[in-house]
Amino acid sequence: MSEFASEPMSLGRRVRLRLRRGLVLPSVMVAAVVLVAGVGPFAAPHDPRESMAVAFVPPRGEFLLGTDQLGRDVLSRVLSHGWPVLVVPLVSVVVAALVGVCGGLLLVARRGRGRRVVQVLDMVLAIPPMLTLIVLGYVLPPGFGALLVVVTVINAPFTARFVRSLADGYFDAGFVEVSLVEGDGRVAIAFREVLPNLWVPLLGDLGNRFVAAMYVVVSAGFLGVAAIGDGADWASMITDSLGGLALNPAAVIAPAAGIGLLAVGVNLLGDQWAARR
Amino acid sequence: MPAGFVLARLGVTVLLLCGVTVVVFVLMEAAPRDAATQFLGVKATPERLAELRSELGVDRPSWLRYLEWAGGVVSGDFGASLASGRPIGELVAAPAGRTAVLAGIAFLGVLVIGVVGGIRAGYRASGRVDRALSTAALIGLSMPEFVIGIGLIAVFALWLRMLPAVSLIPSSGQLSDRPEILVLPAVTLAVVAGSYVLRLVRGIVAAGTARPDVEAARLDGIGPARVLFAHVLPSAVGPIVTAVVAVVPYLVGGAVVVEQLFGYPGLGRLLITAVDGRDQPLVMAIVLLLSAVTVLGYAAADVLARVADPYRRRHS
Repeated sequence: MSEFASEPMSLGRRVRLRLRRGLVLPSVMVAAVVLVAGVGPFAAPHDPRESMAVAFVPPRGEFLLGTDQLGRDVLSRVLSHGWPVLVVPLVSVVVAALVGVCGGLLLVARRGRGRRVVQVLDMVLAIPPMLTLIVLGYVLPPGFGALLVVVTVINAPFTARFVRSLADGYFDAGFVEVSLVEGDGRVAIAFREVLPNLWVPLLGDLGNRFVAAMYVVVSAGFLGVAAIGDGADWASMITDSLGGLALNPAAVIAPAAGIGLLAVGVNLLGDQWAARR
Repeated sequence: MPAGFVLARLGVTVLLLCGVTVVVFVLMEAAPRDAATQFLGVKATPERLAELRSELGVDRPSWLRYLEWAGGVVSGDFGASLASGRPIGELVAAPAGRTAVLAGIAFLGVLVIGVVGGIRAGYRASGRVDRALSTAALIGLSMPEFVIGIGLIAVFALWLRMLPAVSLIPSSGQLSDRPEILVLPAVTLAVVAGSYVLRLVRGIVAAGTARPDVEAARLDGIGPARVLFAHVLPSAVGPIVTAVVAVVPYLVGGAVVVEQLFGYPGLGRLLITAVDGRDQPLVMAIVLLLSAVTVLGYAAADVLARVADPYRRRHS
């Protein structure tokens, strides 16, 4: 045993082991939240919408996490209402990425006009996201559509600028010059010849974008702006139960822990991905 | 620094602020509900709505009202709130002051967490302390403010009972009478912003420490403190100042969620109340103020970066 352990490990193997160890914990964190959000609705012991007891009963016996402001079972609500925190950012990140990638490629293809548009984009990026969220969130009809718009407005300019900085160099590359000489349009070249080279860095950036989108979505839920459903997501549950924090802290801490776990897990995974390349 | 650069920067700033106010104005015009419907609520009849709208002056053409508003702002008059009729300046002053106090205290926290922590982590990059600090910072900046705030409340208010969970302003209206209400909100902001600054500063200092001339100084037998203060930090000061200044807009504008969580009556909470009541002039004034702080913060960071960098000072 001791003989086996003292055998020196090659540097490459040690690095690989370290990376893998770094991946286990964040993967478990994300997987736990995905599991709760996915299976939870079917595992809830009580009806998440039904008032079962008085408000803010602390955790005991039948109610493992106590009850909320309307006497509903917190455990059942946490299990049933986890999926919006995952699904809404996921869908809106994909939409925002599509808009951002198309926008960024057009900016590169149309060089002259692109530069002026980027100056405008830089100004848009300087506006605090919370300001965008509050103003847009209250003006748009509440719901999933509003969040989709807000996330796209906040995220797409980042992606567009990122794509532009990545793609700009490729327009000097040999294979693009060949297409240019053959008479292809710059827009067509951007999508057909340049885009396939950008997938890897774009996928890496998607992690950051997801965290940003999740931040927007949960902040919206917490502020009660553009809420999805009638307070049926972890962030809105926190706001609704804040008044009973002293009576049943679990009603606030449980959904907050779910959000924190997901955010930290995704960010740690993104960090490992960045460190690997 | 050439005057042309500063002037161009100023021009862009004014244009951006005009753009932001136009967009916010148009959005609020397009909103399905306005101040009159919000004020009357379920009692709204078409006649009463029309009456109230003409009383508030919101029945006149949009472009005319925007120009009047912009003209007023240029001469320092932000108009009156639609909801209460009180002058905007009077409504905004106290909350703006409270937000500034909170941001100022949080800024001190950012200096400690971000700058001191970042220098410590970066000076011995990939050491044990660096790995602990960097991971902690990544966790700190990953979580939404309200999750961190709730964690702090759970520990310091509910469990240890050391600090208040709600930041109620004392009846005297003086924050100095109950300074403890500022601690948890300020720490929450400082953790998020400080974590961000820590990672930036760590990178700057780590890059400086790896430079050949610094390595040579170390091989000459110069002590670690002297290497840090005489060889690494002088050239790192510029980028560090830029990173720290760029965080100020976040502390002011990003405080909305923290103010809401702790019930702290600052600018962010006022903005939410104003948007909820479709109080157009009040929303416009707060948005203008917050955007101005943001844009000026970034502009200041930009100018400082040029001042601190001899190469860019000469070539821009």
